[in-house]
Amino acid sequence: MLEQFVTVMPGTLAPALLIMCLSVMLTVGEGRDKPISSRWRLWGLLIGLVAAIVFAALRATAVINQRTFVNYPVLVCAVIVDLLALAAVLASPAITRDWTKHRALMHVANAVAAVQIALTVFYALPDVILQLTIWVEPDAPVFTSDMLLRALGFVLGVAASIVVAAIFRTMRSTAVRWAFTTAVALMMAILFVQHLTGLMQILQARRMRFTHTMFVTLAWSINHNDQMIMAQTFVFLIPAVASIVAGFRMKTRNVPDLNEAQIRGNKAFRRRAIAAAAWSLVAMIAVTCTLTVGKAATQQTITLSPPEAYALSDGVATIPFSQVEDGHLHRFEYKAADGTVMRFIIIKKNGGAYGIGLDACENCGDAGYYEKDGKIICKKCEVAINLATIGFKGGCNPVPFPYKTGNGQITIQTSDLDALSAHFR
Amino acid sequence: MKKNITTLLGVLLAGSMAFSLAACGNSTASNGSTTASNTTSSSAAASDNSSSSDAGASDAGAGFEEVPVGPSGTAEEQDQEAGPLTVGAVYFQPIDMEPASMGLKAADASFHLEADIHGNEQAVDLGYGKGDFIPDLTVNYTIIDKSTGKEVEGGKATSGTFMQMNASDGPHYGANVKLDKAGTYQLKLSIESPAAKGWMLHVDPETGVKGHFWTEPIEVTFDNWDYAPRQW
Repeated sequence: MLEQFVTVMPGTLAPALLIMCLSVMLTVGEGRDKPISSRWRLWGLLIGLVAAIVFAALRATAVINQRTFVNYPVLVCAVIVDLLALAAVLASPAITRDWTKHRALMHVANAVAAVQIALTVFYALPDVILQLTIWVEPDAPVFTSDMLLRALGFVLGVAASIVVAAIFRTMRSTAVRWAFTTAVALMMAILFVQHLTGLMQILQARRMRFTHTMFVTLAWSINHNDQMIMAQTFVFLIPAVASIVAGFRMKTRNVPDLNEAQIRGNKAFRRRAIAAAAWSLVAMIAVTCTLTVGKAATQQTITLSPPEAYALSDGVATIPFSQVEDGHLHRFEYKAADGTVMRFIIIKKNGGAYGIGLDACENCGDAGYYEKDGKIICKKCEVAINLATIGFKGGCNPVPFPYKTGNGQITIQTSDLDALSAHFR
Repeated sequence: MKKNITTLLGVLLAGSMAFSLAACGNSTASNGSTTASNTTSSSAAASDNSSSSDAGASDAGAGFEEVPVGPSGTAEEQDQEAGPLTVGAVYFQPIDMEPASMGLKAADASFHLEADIHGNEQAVDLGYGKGDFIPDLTVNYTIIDKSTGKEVEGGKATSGTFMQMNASDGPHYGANVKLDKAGTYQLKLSIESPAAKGWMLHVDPETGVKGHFWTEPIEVTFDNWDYAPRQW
């Protein structure tokens, strides 16, 4: 669930922020006194959303087998429209002031915003939606409790993005306009860089010959995507500070010119301004935590459990059933004749037989195995090993070796272990 | 005036949709051509190794999108001749395989790394046809981060032994790999002969082959691999 959350939230944050920003910057009028283009942005969102779902479905079902074919033209359009939309945002004070006098400009700004929203949503969402479907393995059932948890992580991730954008939106009336406009412009500039990076990624993998410096720049941009997402939220520190300043500037006592009602209004504004800034700060910290602590939690390094004691005499290792019959993974250490420190594992399988092998496989070397949620997992490639296949050769299975069971114990000839010491070098 | 603006908006939206739909059309067409392209590559592999399997698959119109392991702008698989082998390396979307416990799941991986290894003229002396897939090799691989000169860190299955497997375009050696960090890498392959897995050769004068299997692993390096993670 956490894995889906830490992928989905950052993936949907940019579209959520963009929709919120463009709504704040380009909304004019009330009731009937609104331009006919006021709903175009909503249409942009709906078209982008439906197209993204259809595209993700076609990709998940392998009807379309290359996303690049679609993403390439989408990104070309997106980088152009990003710049146009950025210009519209910077010019928004002039466009929205007395908009009835230049309706055409208002419509063009809304049209550009609608196309940008559609393209951004269409590009960002399939990656997020496919997060759910990639976990369904061929011929595996879809509706499992694991899938339910993943879906929950998915929904929470989308909800968190919307909440973050909604919190930042509260500063639209408490911060001075230039502060909010600056944050929006910076957020959109970062979005442009993200789209440009996506476009360059496609070109780099196709035919375009990059110089080393160009590739290093591209690699830097790709490797710092998380930092860019965090920056997209931290730019809202500008209106947050402006909001706090405006709140504290608001006079609430000893103002002879104001009546009680006006003073109450000032007090309410101060409260609102400080609350908006404080909640925005909380949202920024939440996004940062998701991208740092949350991601780190999904990529935890595993420490292998310590080896257990066993009897070793006359070239025979003996382990009683009672020590290993609990169905859990048991690890043992052995120093080979050539001095190599080796490990082997024993686990009782479902049928009552014992799965015995080196704590190493042919694919991943001596990385070792650990137990998680009843599964035996390779520390290096994180493959969950089928218990039934432990004891068989190949793939990421523990390297098998001869052993005997009887008289309530497992006996292993150390010479058999000595012969396999190369797996631990 | 209103009508003009509505028309303008209509053109804008229609334009962007047309772009997307045209792209969809392309991909559908590419999907349709998958079988043909794969058939070609399989037969090419069987008859002539000089045309690397799915060469130019990164081109529009091919099936799934293969990217050659090599510097930026490498449009085709860079085959290397090494002893009796012609070795190519490409990567593409992560793949689910069976049996499932033999490698990383597609959901956990960034790409599927593949070594296409076929016999060349020298392989004829070992009894293979030129261009034949060579089975039962032990292909160990390591991805080295050029910025540190060491094996890449932070990934999964970035080194190990390729498994042999069949795809729609024929047999190959491969593994799913998790590597999220863009950078310049080096792919090192160390290929042990089929003798390591007990493959035998006829040596009598009537039915025997002229050559002998190599005894030291054949090392092949794909250098300056400018890798950027992809949306597949």
